[in-house]
Formats: sequence, C-alpha cells, structure tokens
Amino acid sequence: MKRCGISFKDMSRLSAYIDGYLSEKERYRFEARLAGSKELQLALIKQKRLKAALRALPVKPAPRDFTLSPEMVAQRKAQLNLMLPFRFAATAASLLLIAVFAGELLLGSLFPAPQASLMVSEAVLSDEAAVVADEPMIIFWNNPAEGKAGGEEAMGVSDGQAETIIEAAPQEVGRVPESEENATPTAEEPLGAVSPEAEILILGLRPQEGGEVISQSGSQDLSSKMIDLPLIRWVEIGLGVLVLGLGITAIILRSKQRKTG
Amino acid sequence: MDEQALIQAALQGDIDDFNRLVLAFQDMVYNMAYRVMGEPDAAEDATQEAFISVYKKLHTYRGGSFKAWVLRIVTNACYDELRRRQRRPVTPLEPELDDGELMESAKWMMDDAPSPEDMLEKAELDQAIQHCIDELEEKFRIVVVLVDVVGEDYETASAAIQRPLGTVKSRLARARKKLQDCLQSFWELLPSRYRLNNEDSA
Repeated sequence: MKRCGISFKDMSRLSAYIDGYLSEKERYRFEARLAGSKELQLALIKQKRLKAALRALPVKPAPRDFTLSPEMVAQRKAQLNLMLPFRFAATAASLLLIAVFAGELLLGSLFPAPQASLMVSEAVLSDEAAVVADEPMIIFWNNPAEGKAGGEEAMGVSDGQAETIIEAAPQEVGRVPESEENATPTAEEPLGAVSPEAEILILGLRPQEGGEVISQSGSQDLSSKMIDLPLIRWVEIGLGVLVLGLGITAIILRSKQRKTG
Repeated sequence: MDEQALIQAALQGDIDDFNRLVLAFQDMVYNMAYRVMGEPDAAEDATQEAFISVYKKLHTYRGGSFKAWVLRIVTNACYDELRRRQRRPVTPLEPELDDGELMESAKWMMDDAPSPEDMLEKAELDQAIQHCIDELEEKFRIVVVLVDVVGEDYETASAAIQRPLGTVKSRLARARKKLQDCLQSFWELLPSRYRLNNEDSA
C-alpha cells in the first residue's frame, strides 16, 4: 500500500509512533526521517487529528440496564440442555463408528488368511454367478435323432455319424434320413421309437413337457447374495445413519437457539 | 467495588453480585458495541448477548484484567451479531410520525454514502465518523474502536481480538489510513481544533 508517496511501512510506523509503541531505536530513526520529510510531517498531523476526532466521539451510554434475571439464565440453561445431549450422542455415535471401522481394519490385518479365503470364495461365487448368468437357456429337445430338430451333439450321434447325416442331407431334403436307424438314441428316448406326439412337435418340443429349463439366469441368486451383507456392514450403515440424524438435529437446535438467543 | 470479590460471589451463583458487575461495565460495553455495530438495536442485542456469555463463561476466567477478558467476549459477541445480521439483514421500517403518517424522505431511502451537504445539514460530525467506521472491514473496525474510540492500549486490544501485538499495529495503521481517506471530505465540519491550517497546501 503506497499512497501520497508514503509507504505502508511508514504509515504503520507513524501510527505506532503516535501511540508510543516504537522502540527507542526505532523512534530515533523515525524522528530523524520525520525531520527531513514534509510529507511525513503532514501525515503525522493528519493522523493526530483523526485520533483526536475519534477520541472525541461522544460516549453512548447504555439505553437500559443489561442486568440478567434468574429467568433469563434459567431459560438459557434449558435451551442449552436440549442441544447438548444431541451433540453428545452424535459425537459418541461417530466415535463408535470410527472404532468399528478401526476394529474391522485391525482384524483384517491381524487375520488376513480367513479374510483372504473368504474373499476368494466370494470371488469364486461371483464368477460362478457370472458364468451362470452368461449361460444360455438350455432346452432338451424332443427326439432330436429324428433329424427334425437339434444339433449334432444334442442328437447324441458320434462324429462319423454326424458327417454321414450332413453329407446325406442335401440329397434327402424333406425326408427322414436312411441312416437314422444307426443313430445313437438319446437319453430321453430310444432311437427308432417314434412316438405319436412326434407328429405335432413344434420346434421339436413335446407339448406335455414343453421343454425343461435347466437354468435361465443367476440374477435372482446374485441379488440374494448381494443383500446378504455381513453383520458388521449393517452395524456400520446403522451407525452412519445415526450420526447423520443426530448431527443434523444438533445443528438445527443450535441454529434455533442462536435465532432465539 | 471489589471486582474480584464480586466475581467470586458470581461464580458461586449469586446473580445479584454478577449484576453489579454488569452495571459497572454496561456503558463501556454498549458504547463499544454501538461503535462497532453502527446502530442502537444491534448494539443492544450484542451487549445483552455479551453479558449472558460473560455469565456462562465466568468459570473460564483465569485472573488478569477482567476488563480485557470482558472486551474479548464483547468482541466475539459483536462478530456474532454482525454475522447474524448479514445472514438475516434487518430492513428498517419506514419511520412514522406521531399521527401515524409515514415520514417523507426517510433516511433509508437515501444513498448510503452521505454527501458533504447532507452532513452539513445534519451538522453531526459524529455520524460522518460513524459512517466511515461502518465502511471498514470488521477486523479493522474492531481494532480502531478498541484503541481510538474506547481508548484501550494495544495489549488489551491484542487480548480482545486474540491476535498478536503486531497484528494490532498493522490493522490499526490500515484502519486509520482508510478512515482518513473516507473522512477527507468531512474535515471541514470538524471543530477548529481538529482543522489543519495548511490542509489545502497538502
């Protein structure tokens, strides 16, 4: 700050000089500078004038007595008493939460093996869940050996037989292949035993069974696993909510107290 | 009045003895609060709040200058009151005449910065100075009021604002410089003893 050619340092010295707060050495030095500077002399006069004007301001007497009544003190204490338990409870809950976190971390570092195995098993579980989730719907086709539906493996034929069928297929489109007698029967039904229902098959499904769904997806299992949190997590969540609630209540009470106080 | 005896009695819960301390300090406390706050209502609130705080915190008083300790509480009460009023600014009501009619050209309708003519009309230098004090930042205002208006020394001011002596010196120098700049146009209103003969030659 440098205005009217006087630096802030000089202004500061000037201010302290007026009030007698310069050391002996500083005072001599400043007085020597003062003697040689008209600018500083004028600034000194102005500062003295300001100080005198401020000191001459009339003293405002108290417009009334500010004595305290027993009711005022009691009211104040009551208001305080309402807020303090909430503040205390919020502090206690947060300390407990910190203790739980610290305990969990400490136990984790002291006994890493069970924790690690738990994590591995959790990882395996989640991998399985992911695999199950990725697995397409498996439907057992009805009598695939008849060549009406199903793939090579679903039909249960060997590689060689499958080749035979594939080779024969272009020539025998729309007909039952001759090699069907050699085809290996499926586990569900022996080959060659063409059931009457085969006539009304839709996409190779038996109407009574309608196909058997082995597994659709693991989403339900997965969600149930996610909800199944360890107890400590629930404790932490509960404490967190408690701290938040108590803290907010204490803040509200404090602000109300300030407004009324 | 034996200040220490009253303090001890107040510490035992005797509110009458505490109120004797209040009566002894209330003019000084109100005057300081008025100069810092700039308006009577706010000063009253701050003063009352300060005395309630003094009563509540009396057990934390560890000897030394009781006046300096009280001034520290008053300073904090003023800061709190200023912040409270900044959060919820108080709009002064239109002043009414005795017959209930609204007064014309109310003060609150005027520009914040009073012109020298207005000040001449009011003929109140006090208001001009108070206006300039109000223009200062809180931290400068408190120091200049403590030292130049109330007349406390740097040590007491330092204890009141809970800052080192160097901070008091520096804040006071800045506050005085700002006040001087602000009051430049009002010096003509000062009584002759405050006027400089060579004002114009500066």
